[in-house]
Parts: sequence; structure tokens; C-alpha cells
Amino acid sequence: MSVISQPVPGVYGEKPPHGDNYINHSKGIFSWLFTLDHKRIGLMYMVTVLAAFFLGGIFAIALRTMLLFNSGGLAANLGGKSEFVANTYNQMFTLHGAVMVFLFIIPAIPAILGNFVLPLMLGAKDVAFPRLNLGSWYCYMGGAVFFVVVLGTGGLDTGWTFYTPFSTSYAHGAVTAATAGAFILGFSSILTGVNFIATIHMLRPKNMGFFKMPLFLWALYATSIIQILATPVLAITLLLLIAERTLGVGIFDPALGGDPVLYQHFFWFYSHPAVYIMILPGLGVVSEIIASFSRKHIFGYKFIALSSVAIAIFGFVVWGHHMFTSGQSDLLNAMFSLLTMSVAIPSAIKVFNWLATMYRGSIRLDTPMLYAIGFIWLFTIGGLTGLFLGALATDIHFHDTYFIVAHFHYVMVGSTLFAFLGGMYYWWPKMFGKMYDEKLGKIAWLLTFVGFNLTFFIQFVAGSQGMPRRYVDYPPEFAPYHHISTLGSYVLTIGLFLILFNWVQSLVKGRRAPQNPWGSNSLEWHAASPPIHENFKVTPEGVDPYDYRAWKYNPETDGYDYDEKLAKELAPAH
Amino acid sequence: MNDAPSNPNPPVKKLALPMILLIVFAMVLSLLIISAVIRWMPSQSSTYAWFTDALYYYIYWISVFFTLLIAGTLVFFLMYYRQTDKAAAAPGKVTHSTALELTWTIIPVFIVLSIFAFGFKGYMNMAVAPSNSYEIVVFASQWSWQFQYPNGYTDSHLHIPADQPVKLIMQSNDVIHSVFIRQFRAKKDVVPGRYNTMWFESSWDDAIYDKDLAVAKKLDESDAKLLERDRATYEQLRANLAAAGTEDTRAKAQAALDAFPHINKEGAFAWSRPDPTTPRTTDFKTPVMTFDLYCTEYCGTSHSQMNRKVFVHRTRAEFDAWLADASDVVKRFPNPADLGRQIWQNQCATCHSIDGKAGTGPSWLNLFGSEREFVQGPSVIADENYIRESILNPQAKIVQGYQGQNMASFQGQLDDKKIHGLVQFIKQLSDGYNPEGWGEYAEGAEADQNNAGDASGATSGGGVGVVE
Repeated sequence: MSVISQPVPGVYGEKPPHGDNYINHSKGIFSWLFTLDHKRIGLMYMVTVLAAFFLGGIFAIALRTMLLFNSGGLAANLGGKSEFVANTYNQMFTLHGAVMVFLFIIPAIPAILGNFVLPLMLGAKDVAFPRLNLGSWYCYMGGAVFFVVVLGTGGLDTGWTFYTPFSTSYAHGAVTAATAGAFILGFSSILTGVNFIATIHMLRPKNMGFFKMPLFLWALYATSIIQILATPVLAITLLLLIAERTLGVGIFDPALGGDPVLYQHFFWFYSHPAVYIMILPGLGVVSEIIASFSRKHIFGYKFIALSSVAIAIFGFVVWGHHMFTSGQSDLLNAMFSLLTMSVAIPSAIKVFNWLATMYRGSIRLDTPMLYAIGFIWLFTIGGLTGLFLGALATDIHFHDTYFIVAHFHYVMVGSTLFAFLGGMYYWWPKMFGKMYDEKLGKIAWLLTFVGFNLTFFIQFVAGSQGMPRRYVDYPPEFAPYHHISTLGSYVLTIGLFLILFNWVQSLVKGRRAPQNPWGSNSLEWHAASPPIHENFKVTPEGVDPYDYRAWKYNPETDGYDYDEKLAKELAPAH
Repeated sequence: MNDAPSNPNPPVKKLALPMILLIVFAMVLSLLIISAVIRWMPSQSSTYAWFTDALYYYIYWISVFFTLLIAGTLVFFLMYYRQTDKAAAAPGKVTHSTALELTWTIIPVFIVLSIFAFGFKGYMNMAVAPSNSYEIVVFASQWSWQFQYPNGYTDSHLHIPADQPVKLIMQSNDVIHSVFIRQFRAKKDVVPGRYNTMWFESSWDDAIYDKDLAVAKKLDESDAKLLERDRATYEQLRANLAAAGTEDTRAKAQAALDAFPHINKEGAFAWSRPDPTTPRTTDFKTPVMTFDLYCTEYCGTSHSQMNRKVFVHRTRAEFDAWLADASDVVKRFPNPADLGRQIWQNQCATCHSIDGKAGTGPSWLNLFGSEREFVQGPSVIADENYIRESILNPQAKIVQGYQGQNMASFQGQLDDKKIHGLVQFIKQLSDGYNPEGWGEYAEGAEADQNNAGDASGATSGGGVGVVE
């Protein structure tokens, strides 16, 4: 181990991977700001999206800390300023939600990992529209600037859902700036979606039909469909909201002749599919990791691939389940409840297929795999608790309680965050050519896993007991739940900072990464670590991404080397 | 790590990490199992609550089964198929099995369909109110509730008879609110610009009443202690004032007395309990069960303060008797300013202070008779008409500095008597004005002075308190 030998070149990486690569290919700040390289855009997204995650995390810790005390107790310490305490809390949960949803979770996996990996997985030089890709990052930054403006000009207290008529006629703070920010962020999302769909259609290599693609690409493809079809509806809705707030055009406010429930229909027509924008890429990441770390072909490729598409399609027809108590007709309630149940099926298929993939595998428990396992646990809890909320009678009781809060944190945060972190660890060696510290990675995983469950599992109990959400002040009987939850959020925070430390440390003094540390076979692992500017010296051909047999372990690099001869023998299996 | 080729894959090392995983999963699973023992759902107090709970536990056990199945399989695979030899290939070769995959597609379909059907049946029961329902009109506004009974009386807490279906016909004056009574498993949004309705029937339960009574008695005891303590303090302060010799010590003693919170305008001892707006079980002549009513749709600053009580009266006759008593405000409040104070506490206090502090709206201290400056133009001296207008048409004159605060109109929700009470209360808050009594509003009813002390007894007035 002490001798660092010459990295063994792969087929398409040929030249020494630590010479020229996309990071040192050109220098200077402008070579980054005006880059058309999907890998660099992915890294720029990484920096900015992680900054947003940090900001949203601060809000989360602030609100959880406020909930250690009842607002009465907190106000007493602040000289009786209960209105100040309440307004601050309302700002905290609104900003936490808005920043996390629009600036972190939605772009996290597609814009960072998707941008970096998608062209590599296709053996392509770049995405189909590199300039649009750069444009999407600038849209993201533009939207982010609006959110910074919001922070500086009175904040936001509408809740991230901007429900009318509260948002149009009653809210304090910079509602117009925030909605304009979300509007612009939508374009970032749409541009990424257009790009991915075009790239997957046009730039697949020889021998890669749709059913030979890695499952991550299926997930990104399904996500992109949602991004393109649903985001414009949000954009229109937010424009109408701005028109009502600034020009007094009566669309949603009944005082102006509008209908507030119409807003909810519009909003959830986007925002429910948006939940699948958040989770679908995560499902793709987990499929990649589980197969790789079981060293076994993914089980039921077609079912997993098509279940991603099914989730994307079903996701469009279930939005009304957010409105079971709003007074919409009983027929609509019944239809939406029935349709909502359909989403459970493809989700269940995926979980069972992952388990079947692990059956008789050679399971490696490296950090990415631990996150994938954590994902299965969180996604199972999140998914099953969704049944309580899809069923009408129980949803009436749980709507707008902590049960909902716990449920969507398990799905959107727990699952997506774990998939994101797992994906980051998994592709980290490819992105930077450095290995992270495995032991530290495992400790941080344990902290995040325990911290997350501690924070949110108890909220199911609080919610069942009837604790309403968005309450700064709560009946004393709920205090123990809040205390445990806040404690958990601190553990989770420590875990997340440990991860950040691990990543930074790996950049500074991490071991050189081999070309393929996991023995995966999708095309990005055929490129150097980190890849060269053009990705591949020779345009590769499609391979079965889940056939790992041609990769032989090399103890000298602690990575896997490609046995081309063996690969050729294995290739025409059927 | 491959320096020991004789045993590249020692079993201890192979199992160490899965063991940790097993422990972690066991911890989380034990949470699940513990939670099966503890009660998840609050107690049931409506006729349809049992159905919701039955569905809840149906889904709950399905979930526990699948969680155990998935987590158990996962941990078993991790332990059994763990491989630390990175060169080892996977023993398994199977890439798919259509039969197996169809199995775990089709079985969940039937399970979720059964859940849907179960939920739908329960929901339809909640959605359709029986025709013999007792109807109560609900007004929601930032941040108070008003429940209006068929005789026109409104109360800030919800009173219902037990064992009779009750239908709420709800409207909002401003933003969206939501009524949630957890023991009833009932919830419905209150949306501006439309009527939303909900119904429930609460069943009388002596056990709940006994529990509520015990809690209320304890609170009464602690209040009695507080009262004794405060009275002693008051008398001490009085004695200090009487004993003060010099001008200097007299001023100090007077200041100490003025700072004492439990005195009225005349300096007499006036005490009210810490939660004067929330009646207790012991405040009623006949037995009531008490539940919480939460607002569950986020509605702004004081969203979490927008919770009130639901009082379930044992029989319809007892409920009717309570309503008759409560409706007679002239009898309950010989001094209309006291009615005004109660309305203020229930409906106005979240925005309007009476101690001079600016809130969402202007303070009422020394408001009456003062000159008011408006956004819209010329100022006026605040008189009875101005106050009446501000209650019924708040947007007509907006005081400088309160632009953008959207107080809703109380038109149709506060009758003339209540407005009179509020006017008298606001007058009382200004130096040099004294309330005038009921005058023409009394409608011939005799004010029963002797009843003043226990006016709260049968009503939601709770804790007008002791006045000496």
C-alpha cells in the first residue's frame, strides 16, 4: 500500500489520468464563469447548492432551537416580545422550506451529479446544449440573488407554499421578491430538463439503446419530463400571484373576486410532481450504488427503469391529495385518494428489486453503500407513512400536523439527502481524483442516520397525538417530543459538518483515486479520474452497465482494472 | 490489507460492521415496537373516531409488517452476503424474474386498494352530516374564533351538546384557517369567500369528565393560593402606604401600590386568574367535557395562539340551559365595560393592547377622546361613532402608522350590545371617562348586582374574578 504505483490506464482513459484533466485544463476565474464544460458547471452548482443547503440548515437549527422552549418562555427571556418571537419563528420555517426546496433539494442531484455524470455515462463530450447548461446555472444564481434580497428586505412569512390570500394581502416581508426568485429558479430547472432529454435522445453511443442505459439516466430522464411539464405551471401561478399582490388583479383573493383554493390547485399541480423531481434522481443514484456494491447485476432492470417513468406519470394526477380538507368536492377527494395509491406500487417495486439485487451478491459496505442502505430504510418509512396520508379518513386527522412534517422529511429530506450524499461519495473519486477518508465517512453516516431518525421519527408520534405544524407555541404535553426532535437535529448537524470536513480534507490530502475504485461498469468509470476536458480520448461504445465481471481488482491501486479481452469475450452474451 | 493471503476474509472482520448496522436498526425497530405498545392516537370522543383509528391501525400493522420484512431482509443480506475481499465476484447471477416481480407488483395493488376503500368509507361518513344536526355558524379571523348559536349569541369557545350531531357552517373574514379537534378526528379548512361545513357527534363519557374535573379542581386550588398570596401582598402595600410618615416614603409606597398588577382604576384590589379567557370544567353549573380546538392552517403571527376550547355539555337540556344563561349578557355583566373587557380578551387582545404598547393595531389606552390622525386625511376626536365605525368598517379610517394591517369587519358578528360594551370598555381605559351602564340596551332586564361575583359561573366568561 505504501508504494503509489503508476495508475493503470483504462481503455478510454489511456493517458495518465493525473496529467491534464478538466480541473487544470484552463485557469482563471473566467475559465470557470464562462465554461461550457458540463463537469465544471456541475462543480459550480455543487458550491452554490451546498451554500444554499448551509443557509437552509441554519434556519432549521434556529427553528428547532426555538422549539426547545415554548414561545411564552422564550418571550419572557426576551422581555415579553411574544409577537417578535412568533414572527421570527414564522420567518424561520418559511425561509427554511423555501431555501431547502427551491435552492437545495430540487437542483441537488440533477444539477450537481446529473450534470457531471450524465454525459460521461453516455460516453459523450458534453450535454446537447452546453450554452443552455451554463445559462441554467446563471438562472439559478439569479434566483438565489432574489432570495438574498428577501433576507435583506424583511424576510418572508408566508410558508414556502405562498398560500393565498395570506401571501397576496396579509403577509409581511418580501413576498414579491421571493416569488420572483422562485420564478427564475424555475427556468434553471427547465433548462436542465430540456438539456438532459435532448442529450439522452441524441448523444447515446453506439450499442446503447434506451434499455442499455444506466438506471440513473432513466431516473434523470423521468425527472426532466416533470421539470419541463410542471415547472411552467408554477411559473404562471407565481406570475398571477405577483399580479394580484402588486396590481390588485383578483385571481385568488375572494375580496377581489378570486378563489383561494384555485391557487392551491395551481400550486400543487407543480409542487406535487416537484416532490418526484426531488426523489426520482435519488432512486436512480441508489440503483447504481446498490448494484455496484453488491458486485452483481441489478435485478429487474426493466421494472426499475419503467417504474421511474410510472412515478413521473402518476405524479401528475395526485396533486389534490394536498387539499382533502380544503372543501374541494367529495368526488375529487375520492378520485385523488385512489390515484394517490398508485404511486405506492412503483415505489414498492424498486425497494423489492434492490433487495433482490443484494441477494447472493458480494456486498461491500463502503460509505456510498451505507447511504444507499440508509436510503432504503428512510424511503420505506417515508413511503409507508404516505399510505396514512393517501387514505382519506386518516388524512383528515393528520393533515397539517407533525405527522405530515415527519412524512415529507423522511421522503424529501431523508431519502433524497441520503441518496445525494451517497452519490457524492460514490462519484467523489471521479469528480476530484481523490479518495475521502472511509472511516470518517462511516462515522459521519452513523451520526446522520441516527440524528435523522431521532429528529423525525418522534414527530410521527407528536403528529398522531395532534400537534399542529407551524406552531411556535405548543401545549406543554408536546414538549418531550420537541426536545427529542431538537436533540436529534443537533446530532444530524454534527454528522453533516463531519461530512463537509471529510470532503474538504480529501481535496487537501486525500489519497489519489484509482480510475475505478468500486468496480462499476457504467461508462463514467471508463474515463480517467478526474476525467480529461473532452471526457474520453476515444468515443466509447455502450456496455452493459451492470456487468462487472471484466473489472479485476488491483490491490496496488486499491481499484479495479478493465480486462478488455475478457470484456470482449463476455460481451455478446445475447 | 491483503498482506495475509492465508485468510483474506476473517469472519470477525466480515461481521463487525454489519453488527453495528444490526444494532442501529434494532434501535430504530425497537422504537417501532415500543410505539405499538404506547398509544399513538389521542383518546376518541366522536362517533366516527373509532373508524379512523381502525383504519389507522390497519395501515399501521401493514406498515410494521413491511418494515420488518424489508429491514430484516436487508440486515440479513448485509450479514450473510458481506464480502470484504474486493476481488471476489458475486455468487448470484440472476438478473430478473418476471414472475417474482409481478408478484410484488400485484400484491401491493390489492393492499393499497383495500386501504383506499377503507379510507373512502370513513370519509363519506364524515362528509355527510345527518339531517337532524344542530347548526352552529363559525367565523374565523386573524386570530380568533366566533361560534354563533341559532339564537344569535356568539362565544369564542365552542359549546356543543353531547350525543347529538353538530354541524359547523364556517366562513373566514380574512385568510384561510382550519378547525381541528383531535379527539373527534375532525378537521376542515375555513376558507374566505365560501362556506365549508363539517359535522361530528361527541359521545358523553363520564371518565373524560372526571379527568377534566380533577384537572380543573387542581387549577382552582392553585388559583386560590395565588389569590391569597396576592391579597396579602395588596394589604401589606396598603398598610405601608398608611404607615408612611414623610412625603418621600409616601410617594414610594404609592408607587409600589400603583405597580401592583392586581388593582383596578380606583386602586381597589381586583384579581383575575392567570387564564381569565379560558373557562374550566368547574366554571359550569352542569358537567362538561373539555377538548382543544386548534387552528391548523397557517394564518400569520399568532397562528399558534388561535386555539380555543370545545365544551361538550352532558345533555341537550343542559346545553340549552347554558345557552340561555350565556345569551343574557345584560344579566351576566351589570357593567357593560366588563362585557367589553371580555370581548377584548377573546377577540381583540392579540392586536390591541390596553397598556399603551403598539401591536398589530393601535393600543386602546387613552384612545377615547384623543385626536386620531389618519392615512386617508382629516383627523377626528375619537368618540362613540368613531369606535363603532372602526369595528364595523375598519378600513374607512386607518390610523397613521398602521398601513397594510388588514383588520376585518365585525359586521354581523358583534351585535349592538357587544359594541356598546366595547365602547364602554374603551371609555373606561381613558382617564376622565366612566361607563354609563346599559341604559337603553338593558331591554327592561334588571341588572342583578348580587350575581356579579359568579357571573362566570355558568358561562364562558370565566374569571371576571374578585372585585372588592
